[in-house]
Amino acid sequence: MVERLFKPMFESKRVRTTMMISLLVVLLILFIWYGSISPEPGKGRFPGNDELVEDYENYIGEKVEISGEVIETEPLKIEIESGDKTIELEITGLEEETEEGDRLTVFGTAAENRTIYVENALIRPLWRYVYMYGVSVVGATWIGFRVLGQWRFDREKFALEPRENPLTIREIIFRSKRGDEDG
Amino acid sequence: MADLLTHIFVGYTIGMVLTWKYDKLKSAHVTAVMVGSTLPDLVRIRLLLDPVKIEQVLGIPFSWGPLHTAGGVIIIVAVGSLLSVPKESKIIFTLLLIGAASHLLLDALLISVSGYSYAVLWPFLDFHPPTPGLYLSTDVWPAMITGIIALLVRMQDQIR
Repeated sequence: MVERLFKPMFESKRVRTTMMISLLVVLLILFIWYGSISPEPGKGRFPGNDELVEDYENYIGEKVEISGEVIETEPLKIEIESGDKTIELEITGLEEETEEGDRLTVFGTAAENRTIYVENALIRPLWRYVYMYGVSVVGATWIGFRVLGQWRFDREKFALEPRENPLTIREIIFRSKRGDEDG
Repeated sequence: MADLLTHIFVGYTIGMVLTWKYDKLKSAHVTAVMVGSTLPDLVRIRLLLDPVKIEQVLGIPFSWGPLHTAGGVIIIVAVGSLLSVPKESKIIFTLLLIGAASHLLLDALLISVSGYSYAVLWPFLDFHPPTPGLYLSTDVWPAMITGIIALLVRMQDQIR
């Protein structure tokens, strides 16, 4: 019964498009909803860069979770960002050595004079991030080739369909025309 | 978020094992699990379209955060399954969801300075669960370990 009702529904281009648009509207509502949520330490959600850059004084005495670039080491200072705005924070109580340019993630207590008392911190040199984004690009490329080789867009049905005969990488690159090629 | 390559290796491994179990599944379906395993990282769109600036322009609260939570992922997966031909929609929905769930799970184990991870199950559950802190997204070894496992699975697949 359910099958008989749903099958023709999904076949219709108009129904599918309407469903997609409705889902994206719901997603937009989630974006706005999530944006309106305030920090709540009891739920594990601490004030972060956005809150501190917006109004540091409002969070004095509270636990905060921030991250930024080391701009000075004696005393240790980091710059945290939110939108176009940045502020500088002094970090005290960190035992490990840092270098200018390192990325610091800090959990600690916000105090007067834009100073954070560290409870726990992570120091990461910039190359770690370069590595992370580098391998992410490798992964994305791998997936890109697999999708192009194994799936095709059927204009008639306005949908993606697995290819009967997957293309090889060479065929994808040189865009050789084959029987089931269709954009 | 663990690095994207680690997530993709895990997606590949899960997808390949699924093809051993279900003959109907082809390599195009392995790719679907892999695509699913990247979906929560759509949240990185925040690097291009700064939510703080969007808030300033539109004058309403805004965050890309839901893309990296259960609720947002289910919506994206549903949209993705609707993009595939109707006879594949149901299976694609399942495969994308498996991949995306593996991503959210792996990221819930990431080291966090506060000891809490992120709002994994939002909006169903508004809570950041404590994390065991097993690795960092900037660590090199997760991609190596999962890469080796993926390679072993590939070799096993060619023997079969």
